[in-house]
Amino acid sequence: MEETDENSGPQCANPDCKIASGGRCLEGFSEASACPQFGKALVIVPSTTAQAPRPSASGLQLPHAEALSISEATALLRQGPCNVISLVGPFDSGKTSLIAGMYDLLQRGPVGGYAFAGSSTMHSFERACHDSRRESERNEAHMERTERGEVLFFHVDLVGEDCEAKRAALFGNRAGEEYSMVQDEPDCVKAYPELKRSDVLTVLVDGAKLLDAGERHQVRAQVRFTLGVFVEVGVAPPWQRLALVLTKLDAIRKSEAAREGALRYFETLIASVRTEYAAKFADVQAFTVAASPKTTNADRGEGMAELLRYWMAEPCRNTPAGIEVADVPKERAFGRLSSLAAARASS
Amino acid sequence: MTKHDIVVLGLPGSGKTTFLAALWHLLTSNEVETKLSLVTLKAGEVAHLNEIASLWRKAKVQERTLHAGDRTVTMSMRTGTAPEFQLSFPDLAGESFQQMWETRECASEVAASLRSSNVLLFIHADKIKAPGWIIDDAEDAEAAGLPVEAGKPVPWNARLAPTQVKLVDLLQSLRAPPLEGGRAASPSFCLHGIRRQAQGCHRISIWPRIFRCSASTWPMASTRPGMSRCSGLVPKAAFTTRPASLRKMRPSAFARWMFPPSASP
Repeated sequence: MEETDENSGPQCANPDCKIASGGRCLEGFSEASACPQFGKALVIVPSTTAQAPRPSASGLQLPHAEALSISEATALLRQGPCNVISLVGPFDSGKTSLIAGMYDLLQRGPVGGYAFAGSSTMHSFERACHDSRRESERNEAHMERTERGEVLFFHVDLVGEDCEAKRAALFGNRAGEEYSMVQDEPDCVKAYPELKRSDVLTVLVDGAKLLDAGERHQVRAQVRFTLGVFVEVGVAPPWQRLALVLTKLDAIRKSEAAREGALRYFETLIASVRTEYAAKFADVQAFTVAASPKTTNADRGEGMAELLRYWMAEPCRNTPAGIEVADVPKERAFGRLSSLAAARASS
Repeated sequence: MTKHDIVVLGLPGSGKTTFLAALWHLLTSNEVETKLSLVTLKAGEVAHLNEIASLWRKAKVQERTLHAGDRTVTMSMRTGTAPEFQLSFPDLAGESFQQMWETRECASEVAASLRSSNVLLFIHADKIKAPGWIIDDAEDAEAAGLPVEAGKPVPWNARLAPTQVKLVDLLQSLRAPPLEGGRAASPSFCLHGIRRQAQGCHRISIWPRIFRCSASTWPMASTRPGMSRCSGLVPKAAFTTRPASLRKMRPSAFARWMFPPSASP
């Protein structure tokens, strides 16, 4: 917003001109009155420079409890054993519900042999869970849409019931629209750093869409195409595990007419993925879950225990690969004497 | 003289001031045998101690502690014939801890207290807020043949989080910068429930593994009423205002009821 200085006396609209203080016209006019700026009120443009943030008067700032950025997640990876889990699926396939559902199940106690042992992203977890909780005053569980942008990581520390050492889990969450872009621009997955580092690539299959005979073919094509892109571009290393997760089990059970067809279709999808990609991944497993059901046709968190066990299994990247001892013939005859002697001794 | 400092943690209304009042009564009345004894009646904030102990004797609910960090009680005590030691005990407002969870800020004076080498965590069994799910309500409504009525959706606010989430975050904050600096190598923990509603403690799992995972750095005495093992710094006790049925009982008799001899460690 601009203000004007209404002081009397010779003045110029140009704040750098010194005519008012008896100097010369900055524009070079010998007669000041000839200058188009002369005689007009001085325009004062308020400074747009941001003021320096004042230190908080209330004391110390504690670490935030929101989802982690890539750099924060990288720092956490250095602190101890950690499994990275990427959730891949189009918009509304249930990625955030899966993460929130797992956290909410841990509120009641151990899940799949793993118990909660801490988290640095509790605000984000709580926000994600809010709309499926009583406090939201809703009559049906709801999930906020994940905003487009950089991937964000939910963090939870877990400890096995039979083991004292804790292991962190980082869940990479990205807007579904960005995975849909993969269909048109395969190379964009190179900019998704969570994929290559994932110990378990979790591909979500929207159960509600499998109920629709028209939609289900599109779902299958999307899953196979997405996996094909990941393998081709090189963001799916061979030590990665692949989890195919059928979500919204409650919606499938609710539809008596299409239930069997949807489940059968998912089985054929698993079979085709195994045929095509079993050799590309360390393991391929299928799961059926109801992380945050909207109806009473499935238990809350049904199928999550098995999925959590799979997510938290010892990563295959840590398993040393066997090295075959190659029998290289010696170049010199003297070098071949020892193998010759061994052959004679055995005969 | 050895100095011990204890920070008392707990959400608003969890019984921190009530504990302090009961402790002062037990130490000054000499009506109940305690492991600890006062060396001198002179204490820091003695007027405050007398005021809250008076309310406790009358079985009145303590007024809310509003000003964080401005009352640090100090008492000179000894255990049996052991050397005298000084106990410092800040009476902090529960809102300070609530604020740590909600706004991720901690007042400087609270932060200084939180660096104490001993920690007492209070949980009021009547005020435990467990998480509740829409789907569970829907199941109940379906079983009862009632319709599920929706209200106006309420946006998320950190204040709405379950009790165990707030407490776990509070304990995590003590183990992370900027609050972990200066903490002694082996602080003790004392987790208190309240006898009157001890069964309520089952409603909160407190994610027990977080404590087990912390055990290497924080030896913890998880206690139930009458089973305190807090390094001998506090009497064997969990304190509360007297329930209505016991209000006619003398304070010392009430104290004996609260901490029966059979519960001695």
